[in-house]
Amino acid sequence: MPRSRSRLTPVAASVALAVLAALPAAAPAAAQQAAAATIRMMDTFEFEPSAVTIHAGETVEWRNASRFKHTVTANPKLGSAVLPAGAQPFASAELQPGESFRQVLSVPGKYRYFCTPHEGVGMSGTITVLP
Amino acid sequence: MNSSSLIAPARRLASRRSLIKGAGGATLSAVAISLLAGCDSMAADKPMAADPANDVAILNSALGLEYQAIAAYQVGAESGLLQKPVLDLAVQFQGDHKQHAQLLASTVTKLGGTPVMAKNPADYHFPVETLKTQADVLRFAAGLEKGAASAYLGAVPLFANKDLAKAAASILGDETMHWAVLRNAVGENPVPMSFIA
Repeated sequence: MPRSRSRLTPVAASVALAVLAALPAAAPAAAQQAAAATIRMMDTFEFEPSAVTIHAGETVEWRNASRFKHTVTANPKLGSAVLPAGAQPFASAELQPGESFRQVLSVPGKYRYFCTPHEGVGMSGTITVLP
Repeated sequence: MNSSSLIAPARRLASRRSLIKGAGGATLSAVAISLLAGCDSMAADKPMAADPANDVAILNSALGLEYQAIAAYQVGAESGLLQKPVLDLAVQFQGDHKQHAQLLASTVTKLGGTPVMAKNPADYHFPVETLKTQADVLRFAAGLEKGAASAYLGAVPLFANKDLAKAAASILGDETMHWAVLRNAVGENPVPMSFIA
């Protein structure tokens, strides 16, 4: 009888365990604190709410609550994003329905972000980060 | 490229009066009727897909975008910034969106759903303060068309029913043609990529 493909070799098992052991240390800070604001991505091609306010160092979470794929893109080189001076651009990967993306915002000011494929139909939002 | 270099529309343009009249005045083309007929047969004769409510929700998402586009072209037409040939083109494109909206709303109803309504124009939050020239209006419209095309691209594989997917793909093609023509009108490469996203 052929061996099951799903059975790990000892070497592979060791590698997998090592990766799992390293995960907590490698996890981004955003994943370790509760979100100060949660923004849903809607079937209406809108971020809901479209404007939120947090304090510097807090986390924002975006949840794709729609049937469509969306992104969170805060990169002025890719569209109409606006960042405070000194803030680094950020962007999610393409988020499937049900997926989330988190970002810690440390630089106070006003952020404008958008969904890359749906920017043209007005899918954008703002975040005000207070000191 | 200026307005005089626009691709001449092959079909008869809608009148300016029809632009003002609103979505209710649109009539469906033969193609739209054919697409709708496919949806009719699906609604009446075939067993429904796994989740018809899901298909209705997707149709309503698309319908909302069509109403947005109709309102956007209205803003453009009433801006006073569009020269005659460009205004005619905007009227034509708005007429297309009215046909899309009518098809989508009819289909939602036939599937037992309730079509979403158009928002008040002010609630679309169009960037009217940035529309200073004809090119501004055309770029704004091009952005809407690109976003709509992307939305339909996302919608096509989501439909459980292939007739609905086909109808959405048909509209996707139309939105993409609009986008290309608008880009061409402002001197940009009308087909800047091999695939849309």
